[in-house]
Amino acid sequence: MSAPLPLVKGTLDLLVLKALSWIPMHGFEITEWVEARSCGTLDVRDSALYQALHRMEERGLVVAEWGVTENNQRARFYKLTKAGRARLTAETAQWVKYATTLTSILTSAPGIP
Amino acid sequence: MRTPEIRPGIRRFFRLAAKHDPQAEADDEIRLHLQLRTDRLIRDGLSPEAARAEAERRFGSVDAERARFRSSAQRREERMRVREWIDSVSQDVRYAVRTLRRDATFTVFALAIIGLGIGASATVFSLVDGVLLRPMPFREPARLIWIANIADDGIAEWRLQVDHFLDLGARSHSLESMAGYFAYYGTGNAVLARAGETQRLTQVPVTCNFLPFLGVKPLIGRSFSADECLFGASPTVLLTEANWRQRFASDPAIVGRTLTVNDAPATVIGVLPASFDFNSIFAPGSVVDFLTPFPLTEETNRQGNSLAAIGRLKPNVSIETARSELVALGKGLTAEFPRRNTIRPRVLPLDQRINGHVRPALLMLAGAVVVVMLIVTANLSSLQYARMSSRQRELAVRLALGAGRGRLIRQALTESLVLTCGGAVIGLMLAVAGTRFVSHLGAFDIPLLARMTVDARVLSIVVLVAVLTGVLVGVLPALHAPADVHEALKDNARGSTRGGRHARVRSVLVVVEVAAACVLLVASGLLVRSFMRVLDVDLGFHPEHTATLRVDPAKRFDDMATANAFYADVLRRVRAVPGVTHAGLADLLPFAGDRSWGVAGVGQVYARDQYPEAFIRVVSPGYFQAMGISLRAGRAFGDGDVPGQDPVVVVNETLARTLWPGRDPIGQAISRQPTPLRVVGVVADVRHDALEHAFTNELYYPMTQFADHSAVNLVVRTNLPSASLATSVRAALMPIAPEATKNQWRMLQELVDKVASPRRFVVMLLMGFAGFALVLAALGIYALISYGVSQRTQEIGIRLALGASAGNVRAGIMRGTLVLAGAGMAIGVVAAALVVPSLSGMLFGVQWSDPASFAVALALLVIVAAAAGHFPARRASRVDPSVALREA
Repeated sequence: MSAPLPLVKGTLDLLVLKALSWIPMHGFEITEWVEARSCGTLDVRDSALYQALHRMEERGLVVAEWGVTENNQRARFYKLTKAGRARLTAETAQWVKYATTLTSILTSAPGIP
Repeated sequence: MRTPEIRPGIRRFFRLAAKHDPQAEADDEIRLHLQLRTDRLIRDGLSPEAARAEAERRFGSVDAERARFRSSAQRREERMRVREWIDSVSQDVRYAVRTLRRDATFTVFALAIIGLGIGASATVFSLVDGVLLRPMPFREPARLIWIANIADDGIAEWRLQVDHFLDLGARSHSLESMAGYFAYYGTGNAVLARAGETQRLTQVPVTCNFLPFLGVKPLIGRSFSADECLFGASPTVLLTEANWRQRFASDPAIVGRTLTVNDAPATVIGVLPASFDFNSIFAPGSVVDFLTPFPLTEETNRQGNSLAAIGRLKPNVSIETARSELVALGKGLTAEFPRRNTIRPRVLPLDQRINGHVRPALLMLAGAVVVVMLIVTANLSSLQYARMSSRQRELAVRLALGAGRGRLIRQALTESLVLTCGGAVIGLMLAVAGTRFVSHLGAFDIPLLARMTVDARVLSIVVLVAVLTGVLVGVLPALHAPADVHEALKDNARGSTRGGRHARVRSVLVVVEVAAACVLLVASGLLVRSFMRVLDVDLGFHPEHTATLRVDPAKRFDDMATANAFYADVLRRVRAVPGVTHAGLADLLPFAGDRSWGVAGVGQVYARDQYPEAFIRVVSPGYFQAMGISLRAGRAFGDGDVPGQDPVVVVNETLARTLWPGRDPIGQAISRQPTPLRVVGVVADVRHDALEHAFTNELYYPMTQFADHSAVNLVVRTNLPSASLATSVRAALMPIAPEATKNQWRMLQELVDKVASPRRFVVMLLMGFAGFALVLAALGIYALISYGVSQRTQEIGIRLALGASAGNVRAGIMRGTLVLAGAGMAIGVVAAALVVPSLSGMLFGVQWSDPASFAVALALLVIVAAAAGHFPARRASRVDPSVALREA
């Protein structure tokens, strides 16, 4: 397994929103979700994740409620708001477009002006 | 995994219930994360210690992160709390608007009365603010004092003689400097000739330092230089901003140009700023067009008491110090210079001199709007209270659903604040219209009126009044909110203790309204009666069917013969106009300025400062008839009173009594060098400065013998409508005095109206307020009685079924109404007796205890209360017992 890739700026928020798009989760669940999906390719610092959550809560993209986990532990669950869902859709589209464009440029035949 | 499904919007209710600590929660969150991570790593095969270390490593520096995390959690919490607060307030407001919309009649009524109340308050405030509260537009106005010269009678005020003015300034240690203006400038004393036309404008001569002294900088150009203030210097003028704008199209190149004023070239040296409005400060209700320099020399000293003087106190010197010093200096100067006029300084703060005469009236109006707002508040409070109790069920449901009592109270307050703020918007529009209307009442003798506008200060007052009213209106109904579900549900107002308390609270509010209306009615009654007395005073002349026109010749005449020929020609032509019954000329009309000097009969000797002072009028033959001033004895002036003949005068009755008490004044002589003046006639006394002032001495000179006058006013008495007469009189004068025909044709009544105008203004406003208060009190009574009747329909039905007559029922309700009104009136009379003595200064011809004013106020209230009670009483007497009982 190669060393994990550093995260491109701004993508952490997007990953978190994606994680929450299905069901509400608490912080560690989100971490696990991201790690599982990326098979360890992405280096997500745990503290950065919480900061992202708080930031998005302030902006009204997610809301948090205290609840209990399967093991009956008190945890803070994050849930996507309507605004958060809209943001996820918009940013995903943008990100895909960006990545496609960049990929097509970088993989094209070299040297043709 | 189980997630509590809680909608974000619901969250706030939990938050209200339990306060929590975001920092502790942040710690919990980190702790859980580390624990879950460690558990996971242990499951993956690490030892517990290694797993713990790895978890902390992955989290980053736990302590540093925890601190950051905590603060970000804290910040997030605060922001969210603010947002939630805003959300909940806007929710309350939306709810209030929905509720109010359902109750459209109430809402429209409430908005209307709040709008009127706030509109009136804001207009009166901007008036009080512009005239009284805001500092005068001068540098450090608090240090400015008005220095007058007390007349021999100890009451009237004279101006200062130039030498006294100079000596006071030089000798005083409490004054930094003094400035002044020539007080006897005549309206229309400057004839401006431009492009072949002449216009009569007004110029005020001021001392050289006048503008720098007041701290007024010319808009363009400069103030007078020392050279320009020497006697005989070539004339210079400063234009007022209005004059510059209206006549010279705000021409920036005006400075340095030469105008022709009074047949001589005068150089324009500057334009005054719009903020310095000489006339609105020193001569309200008139127009000033130019300032010119007034030389302080031996020549001007000979003009006698001519300077209106203003002093500037040195910093930290009190006005009392200056007063005692100036009084002492005056004594010294009078003794030291026996050949000069006497000088007895009277010292006042300048603002008091300028607005002192309107201060009591304005303060009274301010008090009146406070009372009006009180009534508006009581009225709305009572109505809101009634609405709140009819919503007990709704409130109970909300309590049952978990809303706290605090929340209900907040809701009630929000509702009344929404109402008052809505009303404030309407009020503001009314205030804008009101201030515009009042500030353009140019004929009013109220200083600084033009600067009254709706500005930030007025806006903040409006907001303050709206919020205060909202809270006052809301607080009673809010306290009426039920404490718990139980209470709310068991209470259906009817017959219960709460129902009784409800009626009592509203009764108290209605009593307050009636009492307040009573005070306003008594006050306005007193002022209306004073105003009627003022209008009824014996003017001494008859202004009806009489018009005036200035007919000063365009050029000064070289000799009296030419002048007399001109006057005779004017009178002959005007008298020939059909419809003219009498015509005459005078230098000064009543209420249009005055001058006076000491007079004595031949052989009478008075101490230097004891000479009787008489107001001087210079009039032509026919003047007394044209004015309707009756001749009491002797004869009026005739065409034979010309130079070369015996110099003659006419005195008024007061002067005749003053100089020759108990003797026949006809044939007596008044001292004058070289020839004494022979009294040939006695005429009736005339009011000449104010309607409210007593008659004073008057001395009439014939215009045909006495050239010392500065204006010529034609007075025309007619039996035709004035408008058509104006055209024919102008046509008659066209050949001999073309420039005069452009002057304003004024009815004599306008002069009288103008002096009565401030009083009329105050009376009209106060009557408006009192009328509004009366209507509100009536509506308050009506709403309460009518509510009572609807609550008691059942009881009334039973009583009717048991044999009470409709008349009995009606009488019972009317009695209740009148008892309520009576309580209000009793309190109102006592309150009025406490308040109205402070109006004494504004009353004329009536005492504050005037029984008629009180009686009329009480009678009006009884009538209005009876009318307000009549309709509910009639409804009650028509209750159908069978229907009422079935509904029960």
